[in-house]
Amino acid sequence: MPIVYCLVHNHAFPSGIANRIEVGFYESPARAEDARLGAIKLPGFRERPESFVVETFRLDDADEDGAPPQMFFSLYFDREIVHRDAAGNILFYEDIEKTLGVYSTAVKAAEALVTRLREPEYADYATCFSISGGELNSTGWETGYFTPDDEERQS
Amino acid sequence: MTFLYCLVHSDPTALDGAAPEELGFYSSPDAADVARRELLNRRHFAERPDGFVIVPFRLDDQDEDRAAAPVYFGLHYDGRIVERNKFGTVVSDMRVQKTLAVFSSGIKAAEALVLKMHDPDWATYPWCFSITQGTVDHPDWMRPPA
Repeated sequence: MPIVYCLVHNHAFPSGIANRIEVGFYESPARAEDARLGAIKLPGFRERPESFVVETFRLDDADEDGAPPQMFFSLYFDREIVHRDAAGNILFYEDIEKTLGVYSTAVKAAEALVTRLREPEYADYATCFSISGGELNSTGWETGYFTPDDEERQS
Repeated sequence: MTFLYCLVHSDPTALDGAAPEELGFYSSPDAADVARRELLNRRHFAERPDGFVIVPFRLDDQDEDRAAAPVYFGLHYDGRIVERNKFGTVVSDMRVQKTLAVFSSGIKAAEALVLKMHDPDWATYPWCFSITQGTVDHPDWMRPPA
């Protein structure tokens, strides 16, 4: 079955804010590792080298054999939960961010969205989904990233 | 059939061809007109009082009559639309930022997205689509600041 490998930088900052960056999707673990070795030299990533993980996705949730296509479409979920105390004061924000599946066509990604909305866990959160897409083995975030703390340290 | 009415304001003098603003979905043209009159108290709109239009949307794209639910789901598009003539030459390339249709549930909006993805004219940029949610007759701009 075609598997794609997503290199993710998933860092939880001391403030409680979690930052999920999907660096790229790759056709093999070796390609994902090459991408990690490149990204780890860049600002943002190099200060937090322990936060890389590789997530695996079965393309189209299908069992057929074959090479993954060059273009892919992913179904992404991003929901912010505001935690409050009994008086209604905001305690902290929790961000649930995850890729739910990777597909060979935009139609399949949209069909997967319909399926997810039939599940109780997602039924009330239609506005939290998006479909993104890109080229397999293409790496993003080529200049790294900065947090406000990083920028303060630099100035 | 059930309609929702979207109050839209366009400013043709805006720079960069800014997309028209959608100012909420309403249960009747009268409710949309009440909102229009309220917005005329704001300078941005008072300077362009002729920029308002009310656009009807058929809920769920169906013929059946029923009361509109208080919550609606919109299939929204924010991207470019390129139109070509029969020779393939680009005749227009516009930034579009608008609700394409409204539905009574998130699943119905997602099912409409599946249909759009079957159409090559729309499927090129699936990331330009989103599902929005709002309350009929009570758009965000009417709420007091948190």
